Amino acid sequence: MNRHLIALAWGIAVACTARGEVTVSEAWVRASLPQQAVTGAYMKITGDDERLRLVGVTTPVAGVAEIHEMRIENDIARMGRVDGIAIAPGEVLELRPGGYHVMLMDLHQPLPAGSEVVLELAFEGAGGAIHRVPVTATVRPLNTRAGGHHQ
Amino acid sequence: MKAARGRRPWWSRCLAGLGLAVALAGHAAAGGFHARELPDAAEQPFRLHDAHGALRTSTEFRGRVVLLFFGFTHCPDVCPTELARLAEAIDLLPPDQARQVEVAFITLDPQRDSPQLLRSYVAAFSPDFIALRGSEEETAALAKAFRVFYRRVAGSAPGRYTLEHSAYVHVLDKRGRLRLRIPGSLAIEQVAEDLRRLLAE
Ligand SMILES: [Cu+2]
Repeated sequence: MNRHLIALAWGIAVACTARGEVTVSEAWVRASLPQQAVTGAYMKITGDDERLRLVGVTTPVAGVAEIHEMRIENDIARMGRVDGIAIAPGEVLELRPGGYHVMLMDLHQPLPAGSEVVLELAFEGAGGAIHRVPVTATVRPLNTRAGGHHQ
Repeated sequence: MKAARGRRPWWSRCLAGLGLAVALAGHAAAGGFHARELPDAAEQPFRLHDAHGALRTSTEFRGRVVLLFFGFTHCPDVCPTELARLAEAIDLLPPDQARQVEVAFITLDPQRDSPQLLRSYVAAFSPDFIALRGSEEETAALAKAFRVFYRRVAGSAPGRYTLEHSAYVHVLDKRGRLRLRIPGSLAIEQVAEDLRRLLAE
């Protein structure tokens, strides 16, 4: 009973803040080692009430951040840059190992597990306007598996 | 838990038993392993330096099951996921069996993967994993012998290249014969079962 009330209140709160705002949750970055200049960032992005496209990412920890797609085709792991990812209204886009990720390249320093990384995501709205959304991601151990084991 | 099990009708256990029998029969037809079996099971030697500079040859691993994974440390998720899966599969084995399994990460990117980087990289997954590194030529020859595909893909700057590569794990049996290829889609429990089966041979 109480839980329903909380869910209802939460639903209203989300509905009130949703306009023009995408929400990002469970953002994490895989830890990196000295000399290892790249890593991946992962998160869940919930679209708002208009059609959006994730078009860019910037972060102070890396020289370059790109949106990439990882695929395994015929047992071969392939990775490629994508210009953007469309997010339908209310859709949840998950960036996760084995799928889409934000590739952080030319890391300025190693990212130890437990530290935090600030990212800024750029979304293009239906009218062409750019919304910028700051995200704080937690650095998880290098051996983190998809599905969240070994955290 | 026990009480709940007792209340199940007698025929449900029969059905479960029948299901198990069918599953086992299916297995037997496929040769008994969950991973893909190599029909020729040929001996597959290797000879490379590890990340501590010691020369390692396949013959020293006789009597143990060897898991070889070809990858590179600048790989954002397929390589770390696979190594983490292998560590978990080995954790499912009793300690005496776990000691008989060797995991070697063979770099396909000796240019960027220095011995120091490889040492700390494999240690992040297990203190028992080893890393092997050859010259570009040795790497290419070994990959060819194992039928591992890899190709360099240019990035937005010269140092930002990435690699496309075969994503399975190669399994050598206790006699050094290449027996199985484990795809990333195989459940960890099934990987552990295959290892147990190979160790029992
Ligand atoms: Cu990438």
